[in-house]
Amino acid sequence: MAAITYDRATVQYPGAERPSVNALDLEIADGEFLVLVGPSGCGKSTSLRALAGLEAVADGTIRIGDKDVTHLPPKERDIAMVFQNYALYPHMTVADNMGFALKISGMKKEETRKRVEDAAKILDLTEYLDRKPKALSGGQRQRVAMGRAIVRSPQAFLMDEPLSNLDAKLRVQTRTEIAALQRRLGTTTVYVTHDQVEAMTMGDRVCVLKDGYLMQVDTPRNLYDKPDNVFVAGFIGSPAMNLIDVDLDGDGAVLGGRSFPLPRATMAALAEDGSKTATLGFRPEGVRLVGEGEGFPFEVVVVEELGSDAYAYGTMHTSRGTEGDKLLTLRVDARKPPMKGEIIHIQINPDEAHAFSASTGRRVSGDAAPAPGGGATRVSQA
Amino acid sequence: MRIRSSFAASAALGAVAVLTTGCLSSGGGGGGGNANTSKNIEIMYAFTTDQESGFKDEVNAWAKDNNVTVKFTQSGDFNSLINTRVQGNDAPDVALFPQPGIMKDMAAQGELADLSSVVDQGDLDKLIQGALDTGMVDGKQYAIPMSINVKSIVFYPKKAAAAAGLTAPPQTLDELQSLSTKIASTGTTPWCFGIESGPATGWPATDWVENLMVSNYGADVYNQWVAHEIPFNDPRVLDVLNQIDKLLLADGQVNGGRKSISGNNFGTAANAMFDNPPGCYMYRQGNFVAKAGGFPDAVLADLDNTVGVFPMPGKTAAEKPVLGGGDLAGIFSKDNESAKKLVQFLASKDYGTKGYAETGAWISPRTDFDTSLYPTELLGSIAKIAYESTAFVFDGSDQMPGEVGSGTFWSEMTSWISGEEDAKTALDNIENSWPA
Amino acid sequence: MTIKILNAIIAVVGGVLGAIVLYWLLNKLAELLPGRWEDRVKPYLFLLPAVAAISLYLIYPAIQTLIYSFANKNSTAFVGFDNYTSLLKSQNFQNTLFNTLLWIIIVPAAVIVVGLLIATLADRLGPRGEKLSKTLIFLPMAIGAVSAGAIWKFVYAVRPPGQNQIGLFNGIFTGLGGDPVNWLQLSTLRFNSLLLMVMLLWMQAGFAMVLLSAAIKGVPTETLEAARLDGAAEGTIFFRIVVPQIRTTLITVFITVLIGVLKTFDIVYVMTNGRSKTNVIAVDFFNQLFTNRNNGNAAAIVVMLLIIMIPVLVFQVRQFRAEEAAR
Repeated sequence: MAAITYDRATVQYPGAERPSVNALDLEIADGEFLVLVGPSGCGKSTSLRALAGLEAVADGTIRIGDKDVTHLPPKERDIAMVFQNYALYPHMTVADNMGFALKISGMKKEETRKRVEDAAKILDLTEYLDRKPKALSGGQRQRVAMGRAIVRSPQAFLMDEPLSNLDAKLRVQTRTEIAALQRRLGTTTVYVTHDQVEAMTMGDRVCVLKDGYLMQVDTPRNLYDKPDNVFVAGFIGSPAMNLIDVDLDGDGAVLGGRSFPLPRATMAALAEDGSKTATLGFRPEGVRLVGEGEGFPFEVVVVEELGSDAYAYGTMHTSRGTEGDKLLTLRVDARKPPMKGEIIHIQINPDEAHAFSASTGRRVSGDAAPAPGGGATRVSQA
Repeated sequence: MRIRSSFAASAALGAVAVLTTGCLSSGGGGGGGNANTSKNIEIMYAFTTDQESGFKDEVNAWAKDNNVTVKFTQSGDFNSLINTRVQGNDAPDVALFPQPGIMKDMAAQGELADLSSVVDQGDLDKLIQGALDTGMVDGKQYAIPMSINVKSIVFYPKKAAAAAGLTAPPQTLDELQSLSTKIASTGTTPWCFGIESGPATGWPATDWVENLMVSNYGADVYNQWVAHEIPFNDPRVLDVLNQIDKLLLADGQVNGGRKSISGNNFGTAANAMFDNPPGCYMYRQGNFVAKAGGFPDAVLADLDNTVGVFPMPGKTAAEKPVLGGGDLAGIFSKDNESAKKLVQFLASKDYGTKGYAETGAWISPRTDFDTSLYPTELLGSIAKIAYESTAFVFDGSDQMPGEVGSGTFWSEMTSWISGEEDAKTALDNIENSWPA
Repeated sequence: MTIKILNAIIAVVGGVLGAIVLYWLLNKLAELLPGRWEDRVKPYLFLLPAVAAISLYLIYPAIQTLIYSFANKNSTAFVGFDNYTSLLKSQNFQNTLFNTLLWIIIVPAAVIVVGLLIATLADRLGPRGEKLSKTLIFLPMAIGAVSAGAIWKFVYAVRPPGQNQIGLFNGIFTGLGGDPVNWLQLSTLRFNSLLLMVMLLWMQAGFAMVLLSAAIKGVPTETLEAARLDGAAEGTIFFRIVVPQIRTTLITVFITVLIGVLKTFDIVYVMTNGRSKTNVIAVDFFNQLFTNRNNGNAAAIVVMLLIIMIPVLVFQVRQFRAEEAAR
């Protein structure tokens, strides 16, 4: 087991206009479960494959432990990978699939058998050891793929969307199992997913990527509470954070004809780049209903009742006029949801409101992180 | 099982349609066979190219005069086809057998008409006697030669030969040997030789053996040997092989050396003869090598001035045996008058005079044939060698059973010449392969 | 000519109509039977013509051949096992069998190895290079065996020393200072048979390459990557991961080539006609039947060939069934 370091690692496919992974700086601690998340094409799988040695690194270095593995072939990196489609060897039994790496490494037959059986016990595969992958269900195959990784006791597990081929129910169950297994084995794990729920629920830390750039890497809590930029703010959380482009007046944002006051520090930061606009963000649950005359008017368009929760979708008129209005989401009391077409009045909790620079997309409110170099200037609202 | 779809049904229908069609089409073909009295007759033969076209012209001219329609069937695989067709009761009316063996089988099986009453016996004396005899089975004439080829001839380059000492044709085998030795002593190999002929590789070697068999021991012994009345590996045959060894295969005797013979094509083996200076001076081969595909084009263009020919000598100057071959005409339609007339024509003095001889693709088996009709002096001389022969024997390998004549005789001679085995072993192997 | 065309048209129309009438009659015949029986009998009735045709054109000749193999050369009298014993005793036929065995052992394996090699290598070329190389290698497939013989004659051709060598081998060999060699006559270690096998290899490698290349492309890349991560070297990946996954194609190619090998005739016939110990069973059959006109021996050879073929066919049918079942 070992820590993993990406040091300005860049991957560019031949013929591509821009790198798929651009100067990625990332440190993964020994035993950590790190999730790489982002929309498709963000470079998360490429980053993982570069770590595995399946993609050539054009620039920068990748280290596993103290070893620079940037240009080592996959087999010398001592890592195990679980593929999206599992990549089981169709001509081998489950036992052979799991034991293949050990067999190649010249391990004795009995030892191999024992380790395979141990892994099979953990994964509840004992009775399937003599079957071929073809004769297994999707979930079983996924577990075989896991088993193939764990029998080797590698330095790290790399998982490339291992749950995406499972049905929704099984996916929820399996993600818990994988997380638990990882905690139990304590093996450094890099896990790629496009599903931010998976990312939030599984990772010790989550790394958000977009267009080959690292957006933010932090604990799920911090990503949720303190998104570094508009992209992370919009990507993390379901339903997503409400993001509204607003005009600024002297001491706040103009919202529905009224001013939403922003802290002085925030205003000062926004004023720095001389912009008269900003992006205001707040989570659906970051509001409370107030009586008429207070807060901001909100026109309810759709109401979704989920039992424990209810969400109201509607518009809030900004100073920009009606065309720019987006559908916003509010979490409302499930027992007393507003009616469709009703105009309600809301107050945004100042603590949970985020202001983002219109030009850089960076969060300027609260204890915003200092701006790193590189990709941050490219950030924009998704 | 059920026929589930219309596709399966139509596929089945189609299959049956194809099969039924197959049944119908067998009606075509020649009328052939026995008891056919029609004026439409079919003639089957094996020769090709200009020999075939000249033949067609000649026969068509005759057919027109005689109000007969002749259907020409050429087959490169004559022996198998004639066999199949006879077995299928679909024999052609007339067949021109390229080899006597199968003709004799057919005659023995009673398939062929006895020609004794068909052709004028008196006139037959004019044909080369040995060739005529080949058409006889049990004393009856079943087939008549209608073309011959001559193999007991030695080609030489006219201009260069004298300088090498080839001034007069050798009259005896001994003279041939001493001539050969004399040329060899000048440092040039006297002989050209090649036996490569695709799947038939080896046959030119059998001609040498046969030629020396008839030269040394005469037609009777030769025919007994061919008929396997004396064993194939008789000491006399071994003697012949040893003679060939000394005359032709020994070091310095053959162009390219012994090892090259089996890979050297018989048609082009003589080309070295026309090099300057010649690579060799003598090439014993059938008359057909003096045609396109054989000698170089430049030589063929000026044949009479370039190439000379002398007969392979006999044991003594008085003996002039000739090894050759030919096509033998036989009749399957025993009662068909037109077929009889056609064969009478093929045996007659007139046959070949209307242009066939001028093509140079054909040599008449009649000794009274006007040799001036042949297009070149060379061909005239070759014909004359046949006409003046004291004995004319047919190619032996053609008459032997297929196992030997187109099998082991070819392959064992090839093995022997290329040095894979000695003469005795080769002969023993051939003898052992002779079918019981 | 017009008569021929007319005849053909009549034959086709008549054949199709005949078939329709035949099936219509069979159908009517079935309808005469009481209800339940009609359904039971009809399929068999409809199958009858096809079965009859196969019996007539395949089974009957096969049985006839078997019978002839126990008869003399003209098929006029039975001779028991004489044909078999005399063949098997003869040095020549033993040679022929041995050669055939060599062909069976060497050629299909060599075709697969070469086909795999080319397919693997071509797979690593750029798209244009791959296309070009594959087309070139596939070309001989379109050439008949006899034409191939004509081409290869120029490879193995020999001319007497001193003359220009028109053969490729001898051109090189004499260019290096050697004496011209009649390659097809070098029977030591069956070298000449190997040279003939090269020709079949040349013709069949393209076929193998196309099928195997498609199969290799069908192997999921992830399994290769997984193996790479599992620590397998490229060779191990090829033999333990790729080859097992294209096993069915390998078997198909192997059997197709094997059957082709058992039928090999043209190459040997054209190049050597079985001389210098290069004979194989099909050429021997041809010569027995058409040169020696020995029906008995020819039939016996065919029967032996059939006996050699049967295990192959059984294996193929089994394999096919196993695949169907696994699908």
